[in-house]
Amino acid sequence: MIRQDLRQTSGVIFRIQKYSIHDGPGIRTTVFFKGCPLECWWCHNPESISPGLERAKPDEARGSVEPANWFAREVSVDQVLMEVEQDRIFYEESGGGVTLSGGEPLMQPEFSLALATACAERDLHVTLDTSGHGSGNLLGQLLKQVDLVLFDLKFADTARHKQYTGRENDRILNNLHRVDAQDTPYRIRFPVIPGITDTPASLDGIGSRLAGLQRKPEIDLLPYHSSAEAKYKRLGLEYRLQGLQPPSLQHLEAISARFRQYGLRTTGGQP
Amino acid sequence: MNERIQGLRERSLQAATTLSGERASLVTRYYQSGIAQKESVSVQRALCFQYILENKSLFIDQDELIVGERGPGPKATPSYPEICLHSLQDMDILNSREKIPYAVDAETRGLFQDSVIPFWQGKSIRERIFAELPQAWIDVYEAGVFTEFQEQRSPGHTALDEKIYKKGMRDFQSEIQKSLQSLDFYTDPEALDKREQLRAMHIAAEAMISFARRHAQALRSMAADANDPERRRELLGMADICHRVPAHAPRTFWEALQAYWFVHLGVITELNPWDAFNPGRLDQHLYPFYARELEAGTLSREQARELLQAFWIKFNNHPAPPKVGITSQESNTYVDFALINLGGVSVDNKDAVNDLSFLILEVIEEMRLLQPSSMVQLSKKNPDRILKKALEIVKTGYGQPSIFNAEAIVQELTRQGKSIEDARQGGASGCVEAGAFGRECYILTGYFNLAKILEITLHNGIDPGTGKEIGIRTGDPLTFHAFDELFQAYATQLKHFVDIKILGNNIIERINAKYMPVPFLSLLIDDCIARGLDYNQGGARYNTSYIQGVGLGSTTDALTALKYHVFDRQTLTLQELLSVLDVDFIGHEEFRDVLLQATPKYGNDDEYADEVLQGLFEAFYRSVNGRPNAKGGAHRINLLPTTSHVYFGSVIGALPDGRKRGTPLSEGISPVQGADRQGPTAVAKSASKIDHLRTGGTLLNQKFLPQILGDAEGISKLVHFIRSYFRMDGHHIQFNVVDAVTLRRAQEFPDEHRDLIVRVAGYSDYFVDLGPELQEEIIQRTAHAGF
Repeated sequence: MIRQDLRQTSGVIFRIQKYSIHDGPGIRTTVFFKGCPLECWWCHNPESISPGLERAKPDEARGSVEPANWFAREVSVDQVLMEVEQDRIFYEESGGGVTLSGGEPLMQPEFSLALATACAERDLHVTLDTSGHGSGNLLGQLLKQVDLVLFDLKFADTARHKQYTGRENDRILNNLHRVDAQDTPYRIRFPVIPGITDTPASLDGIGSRLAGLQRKPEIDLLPYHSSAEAKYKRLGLEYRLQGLQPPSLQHLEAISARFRQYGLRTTGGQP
Repeated sequence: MNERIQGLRERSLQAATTLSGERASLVTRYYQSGIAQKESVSVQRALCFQYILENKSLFIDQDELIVGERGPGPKATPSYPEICLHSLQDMDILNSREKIPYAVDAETRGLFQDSVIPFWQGKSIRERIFAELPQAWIDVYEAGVFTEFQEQRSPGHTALDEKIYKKGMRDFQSEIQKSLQSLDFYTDPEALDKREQLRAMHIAAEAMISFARRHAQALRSMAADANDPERRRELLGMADICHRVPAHAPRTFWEALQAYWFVHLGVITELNPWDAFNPGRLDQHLYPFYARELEAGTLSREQARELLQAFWIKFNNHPAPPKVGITSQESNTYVDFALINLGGVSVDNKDAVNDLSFLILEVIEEMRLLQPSSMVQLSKKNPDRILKKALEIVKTGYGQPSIFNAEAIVQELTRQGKSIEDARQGGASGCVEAGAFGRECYILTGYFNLAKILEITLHNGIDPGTGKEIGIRTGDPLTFHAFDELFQAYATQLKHFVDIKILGNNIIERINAKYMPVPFLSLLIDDCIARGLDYNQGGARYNTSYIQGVGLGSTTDALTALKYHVFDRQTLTLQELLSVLDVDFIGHEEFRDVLLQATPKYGNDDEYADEVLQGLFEAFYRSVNGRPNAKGGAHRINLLPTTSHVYFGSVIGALPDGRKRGTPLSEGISPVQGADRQGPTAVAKSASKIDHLRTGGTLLNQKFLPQILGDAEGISKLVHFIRSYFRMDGHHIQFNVVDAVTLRRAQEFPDEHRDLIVRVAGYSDYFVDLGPELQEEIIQRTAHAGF
C-alpha cells in the first residue's frame, strides 16, 4: 500500500474531466495538472500554463458555460481518487481509466508520482500524457506505475521547437529515448499545425527520429482546430494563430503517407 | 429507396392532416338505427365495429404494396364521438391552430353540427367521466397536479406478441367456440356476461375478415383496370393475400406484414386507444418468414426491404387522433407512439438479434419518417454491432432509435409478477413503458406533477396559483426546524394527491369496463378469450395502471436547495426564500445565482443532491406501488413526461432551485436543463441511483453535439457508456444529436427546417411543430461536448 502521507500529497490541478474519450483507451477521467514549462502557440489550455493557484481572469470566466473549468484548485491525492473512483464502472466496461495530463504532470513530481501510484494500486489503468519536458528520473519512476504514455512530440528540430514552444527540446528527446528503452507501451502525439509542425523538413525530422527508436511507436495525429481562439480572447491573451485553417483530410493523409515511408503507423487525423 | 417507395413516401409526407367525419357519421347512424338496441353492450360495440368496417370507404394508393387506411385517405383522421365528442369550437381550434392543426372542412363541421353533436351530447365517455368525478378531483386536475389519459382516448397502451403470425381470425373464432362450449351456467354466475363478451369477440373477428376481403375485391377490380401487366399480377397477388389474412395465419413475409396491418387498423378503428397499437418485437415476429423465404428463394433481401418500407409508410399515414384541452398540452403531437422493438432476448433467453434487426434499422435510416418510432432492446447478450448500427442512425440527428435495457425490462416485469417467459417476450411501448406484449393491459393513467406538490406543501395545502385549498394542512413550513419535517409534509401531500388520482382511476376504469368494451382488441390479448372477459374489464393476463411522475429533477433540486441553504447551512431563512419566489426572483438576480450556481444539483453524481432524489423516488413509489386497480391488477410508477413537463411547468411559480415561474420542468429522469455540468457519466451515475427495476420505465434524455459521435471511436465509446449505464440497471436512454446553432436556425427559418426531427421525450417529432417553450427547452438541455 502507498504510504498514508503520500495520499495526502497535494497538487494543483485546473480540471478533472470525466468522459474523456480522446486521452487514451476507453472512457477515462483526465486530471489536468496546472503548470507547464512549454508555451505552445496552439495550446488549448492557455489557462493551465502558469503554475499555482491564481485565477485566470475571473470576471470573464463567470459568464462562461463551464465556470468550474476556469479555476485552479489544490487537491490531495485522496480527493482526486474520490472523483476518479466515481466512474470506475465506465472504465471497467470500456477498458478506460485515468489520464494524467495538463499542463504538465512532470512539473509536480511528488503529486504525479503519488497519484499514479495510488491509481495503480487500485487497479486503475493509468495513462500519462506528457510533453516530455521534465525530470528524467521522475519519468523513470512514473513509467513503473503507468500503463501507457502519450508522448507529445512537436519538432525534432531544436530551433523551431524553441521558436514555437519557448523551450529547446534536448530534454524531451532524451526522455523519449528513456521511454523507448522501457517496456511501458507508448504512443506519439503529433499536433498537425499547418505551416508550423507539418513542413516537409519537420515531418522528415520527426520521421527519422522515430524510425531510429527501438519500438517504432505509433503516431496519433492531432489536427489543429481553432476552438481555443475564443478562450484566448476571454482570457485577454494574444492568439498568435488567428485565422489559421485546420488541415484538410487529404493533407492529413499525405502526412500519414510520409510517416509510413519511415515505417511508422499513424492513427486519427479526423479534422 | 426505389421510385415506387419514394413516391409513396412523398405522398405520405405531403398529405395534409385532416379530421374526417366518416367514422363519426357511421357510428352515429349505427346507434341511431336501433339495430343493436336489444344486444348487450359488448355485442353492441362489436356490431358497431362491424358496421364501420362494412361501410367505410376504402383507399388504396395506385402503387401500394400494403393496403388499408383507417380514414378515407392518408392522414384523414377519424373522430370517436362515443369517447370524446369534439365541439364546433374544438373543431375551429383544430382547424386553425398553428401547431399540430387538423383541417376540418365545412362538410365535416356541418355533419357534426347537424347529426353527430345532437346525438352524442351527454353520452360520450368523456362526459360520463367528468360527471362522475368528484369536485376534489376536478379541482386538483384543473390546478395541474395531474393529467388524465382516459378523458378523451380509450385505454390501450399495449403491444402485440407473435400470436397473429401463428393464428388467424378463424383460429381465434374456434378458440371462442371452445370457450363458449365450456361455459357452465350452473356453477358460473358470470356465464352470461362471458357468453356476451365471447359473442362480441366472434363478431369482431368476422368483421375483420370481411374488411380484409373488401380490400381483396377492390384489388381485383383495380387489377382488371391495370394497364401494366406486372402491376396487374401484383394486384392479384395482393388480393389473394387480403383474402387469406388475417382470416388465416400468414405464410409469407408479405402476408405477415399485411396481416399485422389489418389488425392494427382494427384496433385503431374500434376506438382511439392510447399508443395506437404496436407490433412490438417486429424482427422476432417476421424473422421465421424472412429466413424461410430467403432460403426458398421466394423473397430477396431487397424485396423484404421494399415491403418493410411500404409498411413504414402506412404508420406515417396515421397521425394520432386530435387531442384538445389539457390532453393536447401534455401530448401535443401527431405521433401516435407505435414503437417498433428490435433485438433483446428470445423466450429461451438467447441473443435475439438477427439479420432482420439490421435490415429494419436500414429501413429506419432510409425512411426518416416520424412514425413509427423505433428502439433497440439491448441485452448483454446482443453484439455491440447492433448498438453501433443504431448509433450510426442516431448520429444523423434523427432521434431514433432509442436504446433500452433488455435485462432491466425483464426484471421490472418479473418483479411485477409476470412469468419470466412472458417477460422475455415483452419490451417497451409508447415512450418507455415496459409491458408483457400480447398479454398485458398496462395503461398510463396520467402524468403526475411532483414539483407542483412541493409548491403546495410550501403553502400549507393551498395552491398559490388559484388560492384554492386543494391539499391538506401539513403545517406552516416556517415552523419546520429540520429538513425531515419539510420532507414529511411533502410526502404526506404526495400521498394525498395520489389518493385522489387513484380514486379517479377506479371510477374511469369502471366506466370503460361497463360502457366501452373493446371486443376486437380483446381477441389479441391473452387471456381475454380463455376467460371470456374484455380487455377493458381485466381480461388480460396482467393488468397494470401506471402513474407517471414528472419533474423528478426539478423537484429534487428544489428540495436540495431548501435542505442545503435553509436547514443545513442556514444561510437563508425559509421566509426570505419564499418571498423571493413570490416575486419570481425579480430584483434578486444574485440570490437566484446562488441557487443556480452554488447549490448541489441532481445529475452531477453529487451524493448530497442524489440522496434527496432517492428520498423523493421512494416517497412516490410508496404512495403508488401495489395499490389495486379496477381490473384486478395493481398501480405502478414510471417516470416519463411526453410534453407534460412544459404544461406542468406553466402552472408552477418560481421554485427554490432557481427555476423561474412558468418555465418547463425537467423531463423524465433527466437533470434540470443545464444543471448537469460533469458530463454524461455523472448524469448516468446520478440517474442510476433510483431503482429503475421497481418502475415500469424511466426516460433519460441526453443531448450530444454531433462531433462526439464523429468517428468510429466516438461511437464505440458511446457503446461503452450505454453498456455501463445498463450495467447499473438504467432502463432507457435516448440521444438528441443536433447542435444548438442548427436548432436556432430552425426557429428562425421554420420553412427550411420542416424535416428536422428531434428527440422530444420518448418519441421524436418535427422540431418546427413543437411549441416555443418546448423548442427552447430542447435547445437548453445540456449538450455534452466531446472532450
